[in-house]
Amino acid sequence: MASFGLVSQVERDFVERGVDVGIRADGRARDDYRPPRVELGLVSQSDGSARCQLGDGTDVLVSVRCELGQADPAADDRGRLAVSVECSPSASQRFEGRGADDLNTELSEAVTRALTGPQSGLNLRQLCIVPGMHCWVLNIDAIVLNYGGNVVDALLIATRAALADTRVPRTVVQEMEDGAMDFEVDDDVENAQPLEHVHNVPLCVTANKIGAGYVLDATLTEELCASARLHVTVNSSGQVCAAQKSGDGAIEPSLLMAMLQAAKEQARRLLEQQDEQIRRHETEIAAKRARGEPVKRPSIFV
Amino acid sequence: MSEQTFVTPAEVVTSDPSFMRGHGTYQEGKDIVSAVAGVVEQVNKLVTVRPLRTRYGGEIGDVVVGRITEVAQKRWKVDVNARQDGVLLLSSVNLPGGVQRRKSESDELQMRKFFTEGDMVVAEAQAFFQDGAMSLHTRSLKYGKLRNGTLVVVPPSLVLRSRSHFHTIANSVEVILGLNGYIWVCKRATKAPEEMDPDELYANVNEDISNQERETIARVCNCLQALSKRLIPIDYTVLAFAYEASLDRETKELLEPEVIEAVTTEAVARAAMVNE
Repeated sequence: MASFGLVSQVERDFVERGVDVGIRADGRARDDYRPPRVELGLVSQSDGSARCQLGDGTDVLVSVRCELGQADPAADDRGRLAVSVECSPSASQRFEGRGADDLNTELSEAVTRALTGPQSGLNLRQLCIVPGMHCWVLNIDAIVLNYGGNVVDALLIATRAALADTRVPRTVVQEMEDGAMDFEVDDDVENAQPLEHVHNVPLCVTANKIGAGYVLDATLTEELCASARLHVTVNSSGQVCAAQKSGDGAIEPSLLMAMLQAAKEQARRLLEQQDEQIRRHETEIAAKRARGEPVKRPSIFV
Repeated sequence: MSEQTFVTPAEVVTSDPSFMRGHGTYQEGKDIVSAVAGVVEQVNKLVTVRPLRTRYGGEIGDVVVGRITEVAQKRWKVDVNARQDGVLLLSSVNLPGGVQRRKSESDELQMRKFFTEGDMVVAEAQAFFQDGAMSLHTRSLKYGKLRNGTLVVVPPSLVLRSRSHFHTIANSVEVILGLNGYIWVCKRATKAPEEMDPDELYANVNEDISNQERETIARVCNCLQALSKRLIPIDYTVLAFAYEASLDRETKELLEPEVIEAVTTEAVARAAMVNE
């Protein structure tokens, strides 16, 4: 749409009053979430990947690649994550050229914060190969193929699934005669390890304040009418890991509590669904392997 | 060549050297090959492929729904889902106070009082400029500012041309099927435009919309989305049948793939029976 980002005064009024009475433009109630469609293991060149679609609009693809890197001197016994989100110009004309730069940075930051805080759940020590020298860097690359609102939630749904799909190649460390450490990467995918504690990675549920109320899983038009937005990240134990507000409107304390509560409940449902799907996916792969069908090699050998 | 042939990119359209390649095709050796997914069309010896997914082309007389993107000198720019924005000249709209009055300088200064950025408008294609941009007009009370509802976007090739593009469903909801793929679904106005005050025509205030009307609007929107998802050509008949077929489900159930499948299949079957 050439007019992406515009909304008329009467459309805004229609959305606000719809939220007031609890009937949104697509018939959902305020707390209703569009059922996310998630597919795992789509990208053969990566070590883990997933795609998440929300309704007709939002569509994101996330790929995880393990790359060898230098250990960070400040945290020498840990690996690193590098997140990059890109909005494709096919999603909207507005993203052509440098049009999406600000949004890309904002979204990359949002995903990074959810994954790298103390609450992230991932065991980064697992990614260390030789302390102080070599480690794995998980490159998390996301592309927004279509922008239909609620992209942050979709990004985290896809990222969490992609991380669960990820296998880190095994490394064998040897000490050389001169005392230096050397290592070899095992190219057999059978020996590659899943990420530890990946089930603790949180999901994000965004609540948009529209008029005096809020909605979950806003569409594009609803996002344009929102005065404030609250991203809530929740882990599988139902704990709120982080909450971040954006937009220039204010959120009253009572509304804030309601938003947090709704986000928590929705996150619980999403996490249950996703864990179930990840289990199914793993059984399928195990069955494939048992039948002796070809399994892909770790991406650094491709 | 058969009457209607669908081709996909890289598919050979014809190997007959007497044909000339047109839009959507390219030459590869002796073959004319399709560059897009679409329908093969032939005019004398010229072979073209009309793509299925494309921007709106438009013809004079089309009813289109658009969004104002820019207010410029004596004109508004309107997003009509085409390759470039359409133009609505200040001289092509009905202004309050007299149908045929001259546009004065004061009108030019207060253009934002009539349409401002973001406003939705229904108009008719009046002419085309040299560069292919569409010139619109709203010189009829049928056309003008849109209120009381919401926009649904479908691929423009799915909206069928018909005698009328203004329809009423369930006695309470009006649907304007813009040929450019923008469809406006709103509550039927309680007051006909002829009875409105001149200023009311450009007002930015919605009427009160009851919960039931809101539900119906949402249901119609979801039916349109469902039809568009299954790539079913949309006209009033099929939409009305889809609406009827959806009545025994909850509105939000229409977002689920199985329900979409069931409702649209039934609608298409019943529409086919009527057309026979």
